[in-house]
Amino acid sequence: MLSIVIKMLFGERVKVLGLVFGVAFATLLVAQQAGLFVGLMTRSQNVIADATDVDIWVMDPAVEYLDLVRPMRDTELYRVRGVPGIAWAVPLFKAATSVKTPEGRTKSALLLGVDDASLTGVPARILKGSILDLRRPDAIAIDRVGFMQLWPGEPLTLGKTLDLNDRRAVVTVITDAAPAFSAQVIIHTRYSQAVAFVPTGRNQLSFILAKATADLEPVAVARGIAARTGLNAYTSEEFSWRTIRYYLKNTGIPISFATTILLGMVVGSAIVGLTFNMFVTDNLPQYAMLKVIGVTSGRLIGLVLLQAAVVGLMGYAIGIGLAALFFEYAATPTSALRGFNLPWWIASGVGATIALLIVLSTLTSLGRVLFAQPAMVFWGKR
Amino acid sequence: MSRNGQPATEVPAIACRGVVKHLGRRKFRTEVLHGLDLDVHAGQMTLLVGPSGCGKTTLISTIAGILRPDQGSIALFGTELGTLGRRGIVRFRGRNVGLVLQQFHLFPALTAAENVAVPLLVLRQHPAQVKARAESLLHDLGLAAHGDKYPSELSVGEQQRVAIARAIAHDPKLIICDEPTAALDATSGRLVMQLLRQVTVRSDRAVLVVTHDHRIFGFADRIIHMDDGRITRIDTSSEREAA
Repeated sequence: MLSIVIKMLFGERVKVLGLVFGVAFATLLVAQQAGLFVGLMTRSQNVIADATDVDIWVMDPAVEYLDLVRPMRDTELYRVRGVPGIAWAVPLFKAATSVKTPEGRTKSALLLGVDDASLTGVPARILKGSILDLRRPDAIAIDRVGFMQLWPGEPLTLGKTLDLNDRRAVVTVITDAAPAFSAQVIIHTRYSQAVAFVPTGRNQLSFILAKATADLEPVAVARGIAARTGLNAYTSEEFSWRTIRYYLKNTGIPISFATTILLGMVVGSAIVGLTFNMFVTDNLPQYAMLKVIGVTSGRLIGLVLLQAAVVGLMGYAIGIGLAALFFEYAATPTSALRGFNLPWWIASGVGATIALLIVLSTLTSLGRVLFAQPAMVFWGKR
Repeated sequence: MSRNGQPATEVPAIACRGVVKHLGRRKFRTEVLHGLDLDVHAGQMTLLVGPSGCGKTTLISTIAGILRPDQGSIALFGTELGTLGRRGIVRFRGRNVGLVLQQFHLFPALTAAENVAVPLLVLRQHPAQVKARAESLLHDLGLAAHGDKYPSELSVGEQQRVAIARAIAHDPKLIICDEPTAALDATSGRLVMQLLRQVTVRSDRAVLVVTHDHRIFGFADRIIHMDDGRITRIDTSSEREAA
């Protein structure tokens, strides 16, 4: 019986194409926009995620999120180190700047100055050189994508020089740092070197990165730091979410994406709903005939839902495939979308959303099937 | 037993008692069947004839359980339809009734063989048995070479034969035909009726044919005349031969 209703479905090729197109369109738009949105939000906290050893981020009480820096006095570091439960605490300098190659190519950069002694905060993924090479004079670590943007077409090479606020910087390490929210190049260097590259006045300490002792929960230690020092202290996870929430609340990004996603859902539902309604209306005599032959209304509804599920699956497969292709080819290492992808949970969530859309879009049509009078086979449509 | 006007079994295949049926709503509500009594017996081909609008189609729809009578009762082979629930009637019809419709109502996306297979698939029979049965029926009806053709590729007469094959595929006890020759010329109509009589009339099965076509009256064992929602006369073949 299943093969029979599937054949009935594909007997209406134009309508099937319309249905599949509607579902594919909605799937593509929702998945692509959701992927971009999640990618963008992930980017906003990538610096936090890259500091894998760090449990706690400490900052000035006025700081709400990662990209808002209010330098603290260097002595705050010693106060934090004095809080019980702290295994270690190191400084982090963070500033937005620009870099220029000797050839004159200029890019915006995120400069991160890490603890001179431990070099904590440099991404673990090193592609060229050794982290210890950062101890050399004027040494900097640059991310792979930044290198490719500054020296396009050239292989990753150490020893390249950059102009950083009229000071010479030498690339001694190439990292695989995750992309930042807005900067094109991500530079890590020693704290002392960083403050020399970008002087910020008397107070220079952007953040304090700390590790809790093994016997204590980082959350409890963070609360202890806040209570004792009056600074803001959050676990890495808390700070990531604070940063993401800040962008959600204070920028038009979520509204912009939500509008596009909603439009995709509405237009997709409208196409699916109207086409399916046409399909059902045209096939009412056939559904009525099936009732005459002995198919109960419940079973008929199941068969019609199967027809909807088949076009839904086809449309979803095409839409999600196109979205995956988009991220595969648009999110190249040097493109603005680098690092963006389509996580499995977005694909699953979009699948569930599309399934719900199809059910809602076909509800009216299901009513028509349910109440289709078998007597219409004698008299025509009644 | 056939063509003698006598019942083949004690229990009538169709027993209608005091059937009243209204159609339409509110001010358009009209009584179409006025307390109608009717027995149809197995082993016979019974024709239901009468002018347009006399209630023939309403009567066969009610007998097939597609419409419910407002008053009275209908029993098919001793089973009172009123005692079956909505779903029960659909299932009962699926097992026991085959319908041949004026407009055939074949499924256009299915081949002839698949169309014939539908009632068997509805009854969840094994696909291999279904295929064999469909092929056998198409062979019996002279359509062996047309099993893979779609309805649009068949002539009207061939479509009619596919519809007949579909109606008898699940070996129903009652076959109801609504104007089976209306779309056919005289020769084709006669051939279809010969075929219908040949493949449907059996001692344990009743065949009820609604028609306007007086050219096919000769195929009937009994002819029930209807007018204005009532049975006005019943002729048997022996009476007609005597006349």
